[in-house]
Amino acid sequence: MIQGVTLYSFTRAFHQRRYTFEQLVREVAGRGLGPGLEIVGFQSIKGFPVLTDEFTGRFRDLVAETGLTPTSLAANADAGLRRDRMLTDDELVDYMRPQIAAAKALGFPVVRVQISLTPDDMERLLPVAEQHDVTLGLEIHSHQHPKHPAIQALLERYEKLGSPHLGFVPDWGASLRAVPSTLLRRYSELGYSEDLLDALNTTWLEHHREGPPRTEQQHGRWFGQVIQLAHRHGAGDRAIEMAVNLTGLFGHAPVTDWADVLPWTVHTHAKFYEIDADGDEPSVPVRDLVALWKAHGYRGTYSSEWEGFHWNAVDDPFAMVAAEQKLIREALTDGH
Amino acid sequence: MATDDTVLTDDSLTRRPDGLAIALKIPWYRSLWLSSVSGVTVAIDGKPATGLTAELNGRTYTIDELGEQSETLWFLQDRLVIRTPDDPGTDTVDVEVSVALRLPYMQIKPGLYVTNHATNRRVLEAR
Repeated sequence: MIQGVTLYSFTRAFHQRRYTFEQLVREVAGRGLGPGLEIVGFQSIKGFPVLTDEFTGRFRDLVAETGLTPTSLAANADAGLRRDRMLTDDELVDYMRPQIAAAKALGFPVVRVQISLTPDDMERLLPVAEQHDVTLGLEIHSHQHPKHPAIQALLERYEKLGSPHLGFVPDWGASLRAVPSTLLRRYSELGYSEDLLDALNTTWLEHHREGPPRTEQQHGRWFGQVIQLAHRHGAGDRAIEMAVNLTGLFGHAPVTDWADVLPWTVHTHAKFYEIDADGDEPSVPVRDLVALWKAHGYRGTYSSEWEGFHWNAVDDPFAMVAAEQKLIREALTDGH
Repeated sequence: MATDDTVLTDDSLTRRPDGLAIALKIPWYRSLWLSSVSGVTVAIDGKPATGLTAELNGRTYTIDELGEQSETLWFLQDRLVIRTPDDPGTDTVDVEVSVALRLPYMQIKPGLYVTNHATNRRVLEAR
């Protein structure tokens, strides 16, 4: 078991060109936020998934220099790449091949893949993973969740195939316990009414009582409901964003639901949004999640993923990650 | 969402002999194919700008042509430069830009994808 971080947490700094890729990796190592290092291929590497020998060499040297451990390379399944039609299954499988090869070339043992991939796609990609000796970890990300039919279908296929090259990457954003207060504060600062913020929060809590959506129709209904209430309260162009956040980012899965997929968990996105004065995460039940992971003998990486940057440009992302890593460490030693 | 608030930066506006060039940062957290850029509109001093083209990596596209560029990546740290012949000729210009990104991995239902709309408006000094 190791702790680490995904560079996604530092999106804002990288996007603003405050760091080159190499500088950012050195910053992470220098601040002791490793040893685990996860990157998003399409974020960090220009020209991804094509790698130049020069880049591959530099990256391997950088890993040796910093002492970091590559954990997961996040790949994307861009099935909507073309405007005129969706990629066929063959095309989508071909789209993933060079990304999987890139993980191997850079020394990442896990490739994070996404839900656009069906059980059949995963089965067809298995020989590619075997060839490169990497494990494909399909991310379980809100609004999906462990009991979602698409995830259960994948689990069933994994159990049938029984390969160590297939697994899941749980993202803790599927198990929130509250809407992050920093987001509501941001909306308030932008001038949206308290009525709207109350309505958003109340609606999220109603969804929470219903439990995580079992069908796409249910999720679609929630999405439409948030858009409508946002429009009613004058949210205008921001209505879509509110619906994406409220129904797409902040999931409702009870912590115990993860037990189904923990035997197949090969990497973990320790997603979080904020840390309170007591060092806890008010919106993500980090302690409960770690306790369950620990009880199931999880041996992979806890990759801290701070997503507060979407609306929070004030807090220092490096300090935020350090604070969550401390919380996870404490949770890991609880009950010893 | 994400990095929407930083599409325009202090150094975004350049004056060229044939009009204005506006350098945009991608309002997302990762690089996207140009085919994901499903709309770009610009207003100069509050008036819709005409004749828009987009430049990336030394190539020029009309806005409509962007939809076909599913093999050209807009890297996260690179700028897409939007050009318009509409130039008021003043030292500072009120620029408003809207970019729509169709996110190719965030499907709502088959063929329909989440679109991120980012709008920035700033008074910029022409360089």
